[in-house]
Amino acid sequence: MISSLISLFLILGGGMTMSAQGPPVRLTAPGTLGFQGSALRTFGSFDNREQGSSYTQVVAVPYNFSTDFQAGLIMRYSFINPNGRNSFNGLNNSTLFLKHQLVVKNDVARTFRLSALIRQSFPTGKEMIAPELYSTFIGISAGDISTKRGFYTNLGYVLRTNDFSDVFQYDLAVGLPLLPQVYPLKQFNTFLELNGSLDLDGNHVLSLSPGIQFIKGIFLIETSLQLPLIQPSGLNEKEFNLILGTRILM
Amino acid sequence: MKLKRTLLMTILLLIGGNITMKAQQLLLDASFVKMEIKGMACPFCAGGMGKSFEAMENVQKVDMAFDHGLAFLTVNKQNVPTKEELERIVKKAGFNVGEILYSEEPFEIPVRSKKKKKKKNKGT
Repeated sequence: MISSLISLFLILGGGMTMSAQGPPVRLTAPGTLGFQGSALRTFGSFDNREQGSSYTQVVAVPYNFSTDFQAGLIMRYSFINPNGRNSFNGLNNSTLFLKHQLVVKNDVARTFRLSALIRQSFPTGKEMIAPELYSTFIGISAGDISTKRGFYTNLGYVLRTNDFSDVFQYDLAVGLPLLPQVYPLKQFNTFLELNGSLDLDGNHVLSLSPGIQFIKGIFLIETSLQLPLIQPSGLNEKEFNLILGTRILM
Repeated sequence: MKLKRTLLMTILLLIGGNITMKAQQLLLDASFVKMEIKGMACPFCAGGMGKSFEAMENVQKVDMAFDHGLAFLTVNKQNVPTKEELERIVKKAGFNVGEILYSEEPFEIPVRSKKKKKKKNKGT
């Protein structure tokens, strides 16, 4: 299954003309879109697990204070459908995030960016919808991006309150463009992402997330299917997660 | 019927002629700028910069050749943006500016690699 997905991705990527690509679907991009650029992002996330399914609508609003410094707010609203029980919905936990570009190395049609990330989540969620906890993500986002491909990584440590164990998170992504670049923008990009986490109790979760992205002018539409590769058994195992969303340059 | 057709043809010719004249006038009123921009690897990430160029009153048209790290502006001849103005926009977007060239003639925009290959094949 995994090797088939990788093969499909390589065939798709290798068989077509490559040009520039967009930001990764599930990872935090290391760039900030510059002082003049900002994008509103919203996506729906459908999660299917052993004990039921859930749908979360996420809205992220970033604001650039300078070329190198971005702050923003992420709000979530969830619909939970447990197997054999009544479904319910409500506000989920909210997150404030800060991103500061530490390293910028620009070359012709290529850039390397490294940013420091802080994400602070607050227990704004309704009871039953979200756990009552504060969590603080401290980490980095890095990317070596050229007009031919992009390599991205997010690494970080999550401090959690209320007896929830801390988590080490790691993400890797490669992005390949399938259309030649034009201005105004018209792009079709593919991404293959690995999303992992390891908590202090030794629970390791690793998922593979192939995704596609279409960009036309100021509009971006993207989707990504996340399939678990490693996860602890007996803890409401995830079957898959699907996200479908859009970003609009403002 | 014949009269109608002649009338229609005349109107079309007049409109066509007017559009051509306006286009020629725009070209006569235009100057051209070519900029080297380093770091433009993700066009979506360069969107803010493109938007800022387009928002300038004296800019008529923006084009970019991402693979070559080049941006091309068609600007009003009477109000050409200064190097400092352009550099400020590029730096604010998080990129570095290389050479900025001005010309009264349009610059040749590099063709994409796919078209280049086709042309080469035709030649051989």
